[in-house]
Amino acid sequence: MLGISRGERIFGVINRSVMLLLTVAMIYPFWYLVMASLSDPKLTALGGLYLWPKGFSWDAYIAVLGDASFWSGFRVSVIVTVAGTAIGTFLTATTAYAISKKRLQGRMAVSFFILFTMLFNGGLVPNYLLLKELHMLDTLWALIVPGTISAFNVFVMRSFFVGLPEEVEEAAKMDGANDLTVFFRVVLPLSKAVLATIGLFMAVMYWNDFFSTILYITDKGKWQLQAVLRNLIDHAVQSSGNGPNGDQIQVSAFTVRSASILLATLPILLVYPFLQKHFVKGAMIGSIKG
Amino acid sequence: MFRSAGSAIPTSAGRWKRIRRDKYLYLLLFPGLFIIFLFKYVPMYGIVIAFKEYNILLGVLDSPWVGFQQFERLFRTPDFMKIFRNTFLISLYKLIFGFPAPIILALLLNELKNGFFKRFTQSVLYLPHFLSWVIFTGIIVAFLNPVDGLVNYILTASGMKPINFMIIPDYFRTLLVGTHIYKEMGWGTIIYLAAMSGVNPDLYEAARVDGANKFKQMWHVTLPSIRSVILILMILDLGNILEAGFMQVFLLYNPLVYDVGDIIDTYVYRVGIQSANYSLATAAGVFKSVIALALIYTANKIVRKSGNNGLW
Amino acid sequence: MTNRKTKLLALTAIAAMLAACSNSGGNGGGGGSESSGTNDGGGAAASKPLHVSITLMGGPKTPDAWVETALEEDLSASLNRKVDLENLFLPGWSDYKTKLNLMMGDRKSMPDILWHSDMEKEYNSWIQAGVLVDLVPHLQKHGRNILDYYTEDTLFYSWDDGKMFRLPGDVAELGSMTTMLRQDWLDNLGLQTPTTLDQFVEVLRAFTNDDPDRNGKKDTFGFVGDHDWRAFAPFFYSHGVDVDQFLVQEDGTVKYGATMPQVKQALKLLQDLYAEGVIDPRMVTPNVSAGDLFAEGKVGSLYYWVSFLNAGHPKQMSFKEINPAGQYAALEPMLGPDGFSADVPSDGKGWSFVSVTGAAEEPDAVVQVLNRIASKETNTLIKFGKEGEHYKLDNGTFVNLINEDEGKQLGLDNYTWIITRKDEANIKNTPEVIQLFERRIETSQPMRDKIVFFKSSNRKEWSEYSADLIKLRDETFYGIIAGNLDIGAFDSFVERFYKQGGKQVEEEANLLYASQREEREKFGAWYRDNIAPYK
Repeated sequence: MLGISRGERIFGVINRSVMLLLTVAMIYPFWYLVMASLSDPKLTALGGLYLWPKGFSWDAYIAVLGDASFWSGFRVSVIVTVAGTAIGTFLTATTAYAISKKRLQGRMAVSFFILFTMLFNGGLVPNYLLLKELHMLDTLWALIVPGTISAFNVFVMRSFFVGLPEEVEEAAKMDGANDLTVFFRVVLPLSKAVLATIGLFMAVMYWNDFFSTILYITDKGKWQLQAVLRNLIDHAVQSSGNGPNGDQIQVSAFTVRSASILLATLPILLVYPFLQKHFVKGAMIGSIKG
Repeated sequence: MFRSAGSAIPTSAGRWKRIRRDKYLYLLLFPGLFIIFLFKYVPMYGIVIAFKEYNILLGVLDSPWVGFQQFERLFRTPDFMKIFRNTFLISLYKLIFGFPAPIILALLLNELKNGFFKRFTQSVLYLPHFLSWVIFTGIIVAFLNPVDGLVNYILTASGMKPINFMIIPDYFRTLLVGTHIYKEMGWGTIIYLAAMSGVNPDLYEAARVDGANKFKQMWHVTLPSIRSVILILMILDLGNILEAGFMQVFLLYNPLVYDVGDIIDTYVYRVGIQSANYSLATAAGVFKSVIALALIYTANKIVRKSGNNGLW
Repeated sequence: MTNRKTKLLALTAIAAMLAACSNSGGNGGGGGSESSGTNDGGGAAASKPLHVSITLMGGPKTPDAWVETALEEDLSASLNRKVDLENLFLPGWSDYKTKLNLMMGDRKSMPDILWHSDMEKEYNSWIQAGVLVDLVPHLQKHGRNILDYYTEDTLFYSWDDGKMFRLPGDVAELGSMTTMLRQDWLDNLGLQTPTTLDQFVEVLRAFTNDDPDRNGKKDTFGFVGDHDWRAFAPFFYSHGVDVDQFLVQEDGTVKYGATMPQVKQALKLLQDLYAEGVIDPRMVTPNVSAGDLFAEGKVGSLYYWVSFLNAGHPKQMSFKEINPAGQYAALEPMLGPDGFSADVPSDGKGWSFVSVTGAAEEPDAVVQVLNRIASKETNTLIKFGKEGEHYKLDNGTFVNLINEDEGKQLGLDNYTWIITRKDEANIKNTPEVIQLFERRIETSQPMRDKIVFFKSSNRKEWSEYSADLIKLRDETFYGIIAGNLDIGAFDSFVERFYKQGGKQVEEEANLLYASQREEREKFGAWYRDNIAPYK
């Protein structure tokens, strides 16, 4: 085992310092929100740095956690995110694997077919009408199904599958396995990193989705959490003079808005740390050898 | 374009043989493709409203055709060249500066020793991604505030006059690009880290034995092994070339920086407020998509010509 | 290991699907069935329950709240039959139009009572499609409260050649904004209350430079406001111009306010004041709300909403908390160089409306519901709650017995903007504020006489050119004020304005003005015969 050179040690120190600085910079906005959420509502007249709370009060959290809409939104979002991510990651994987095989007849056409959907979109009304015909309006399915496959995710996964060494698959085939068995028993276990990545992307996409609610849901009990949040925060009335007078807009206290944002974001933030072991150096290689 | 490389049966009669041979692959392909077809292609007819005078009453199918009138309306606006230029430049800068940032960051992260600090850092760096622009711009404004923002506080404390950063055209694009990178840099590392986790540690050992230091290892081992991911993401990012970031620009701009900051989407939005013109918005979208498609196609061709795997 | 992961994935998916199934089982916006009453029998079947779906935009949007039950009880008692409300809460300001358009695309998803705002084009297409009910016959039978409350001028804007397809849901007080400044700062500096523009400017300068809050720091601004032209009213209105509206000139023609020569003087003044640091630089960007600055207390004067002077207004309360000795006083509008002064008038048109759609099985009953909501007692009930329980009146002064969060939970304000009264039914206004509102109606009259409030939504030239013209105006004017452009830019603005479509726009405005005057006369006659007798 070669010793670590001086150069490398210096590099290590610099690297860690840079990372530390970046960490502080990246944390700051959340720190700001936390401090704001713990402040006394009457004192938060204006901006300022919020290095510390202005005054101190749990009021904001009490207000948010006592709000039934928050909890119903939370419940809906959890269901939709879990279901959507599970279904979506699986379907993305099957699709990506199929088109990663050079021998697949029509592979180019299918790839282009999928790519096209990334760029062109029919617009709100046709999507709404489609779901109406399918009787999916105002159901949780409307929030789950349309988002399960995105072209971007398919192509990312495909590129991973293409990069897998062929020997492993061929070895399995020689033992008599067909494509299905190879996929489920050989390829998937080797793809933990990309499955975790795409799974994370999908979970975040579902969790942050508010627009599907606006399009397809009427019953406030089925609003996703981000839709509830957006309604709370969004006082961007057009200033074309055709809106309510400035004094009529219900603006929740800055503290409540901050607390809502934090509480709505926290759950999804916790997902990545759980998946982290898949992103460690050499994680994938170990399973090939095993 | 529709070759099927690598098959041992080249004749067209062999096509069906190949399909039967790969029947399980088609089975895997089917459910996803069906969903894509149903939820993405079936509604696609809505694009035609870019060529119509959309009337809510008549709906998509019965609204009258107007050919390219909506596009003309878009191009005819006095500032169109400016708006297009802004859109293009802002996206380009974001691409040039924003694309390498997560890669470099991922390389650095990769070099951290496994342990609490590494896991902690990784989890924190992507936090800004979760801030919506609504919140984030509120914080940016608080920072750059000409009255009591931190930056101006420092300036006035050192005896200088406060600067209203947000109304200076020269700074605006930098502000957009900088805050964009800040927000997305950490999140972008995730995919590269996942790719790097697949690199065989033996390769590093071998390089070290050959006398390579850290940087040489990064250059000769790590980067090449994630090259395909980089290329794929680059091509996909080109698909967004005219998405300069509506929400971000809308929340940060003001009339004093329209000249450099007004983009296609913000312009269409303002027109929409005055006249509820859905057709115009769709036409703008189609315009952007067509350009994006052309770029992706070209980029993919170049990548494939250079011997790498493209998008298809 | 591989089997386990796959099985786990599959199990999760199935479990989630089952959970989703059980939740979507009770789907359907329809909720309870439609009113089981058939069309025969009309309103005579007093025992048949009435189901009314209503889109709601304002307030906390609390589902299943106290206010819903309270309103249902009130309506049931008044209509003598069981009334069941279905609340359809709309998403936020950025998204509500999308939602309304989708809902109105199909008869099955249309609400009985449709709330809408700033959707003139769509509103007209709904009328043409025949999906909105003409309210006149129903109002004549059951609309007394509504007809008594709304003025003839207000109803004109909702009149469509003998028919009415909408009613205003909320009409701003005719004068709802006022010049205000810090009385305590005036006193500290020993200054007189300004009445002319020149005096006003001197006071603002003193507020900026002479440390009016006596804290030893030069950290105050003379003037601040939101990022819109209304906020600069003291400067523009004293010169007799409004840059956002079309104004009738001395010779009877109509001109776009921003092109009038007096604007140049006002802009020069603002430019100078901005350079001196008297005007808060945050006014030229849209990022900060003047309400927050009002509460913070570092600004000497604003042109702002009268209601902020109510002791119970949240921002006023914040202000007092941060600045216990602080005091805002309302001022008469400043007199300009030509002796003109005015406050900003509201158009009296209403900024949001309610319509009854073809989905309503008993439009007559629905109008009865609207009429009841428009009554003083019900209006007060759904806005403030029950007297004694949620608030009390100490000699006519409103005292809150609940805090903001409790109010939200009760759902107070859920039904705001569905014919909201601004008179005594709004018991939160203190007597001083009520007086202030009335005074503002008077002081805004001079401008109300000059401004053309357009009724027609069919303004072809305006739709075509306005976005670009407004952009040009804003770029130029804010540029001048902030000092990025010099005052000569105003002249090039006027030139470009007319070249870029302004000419067509003004011609159209003149035509509309003339035809609107005619229409108003027609309406006056119609009103006499069709409305007045039923009040």
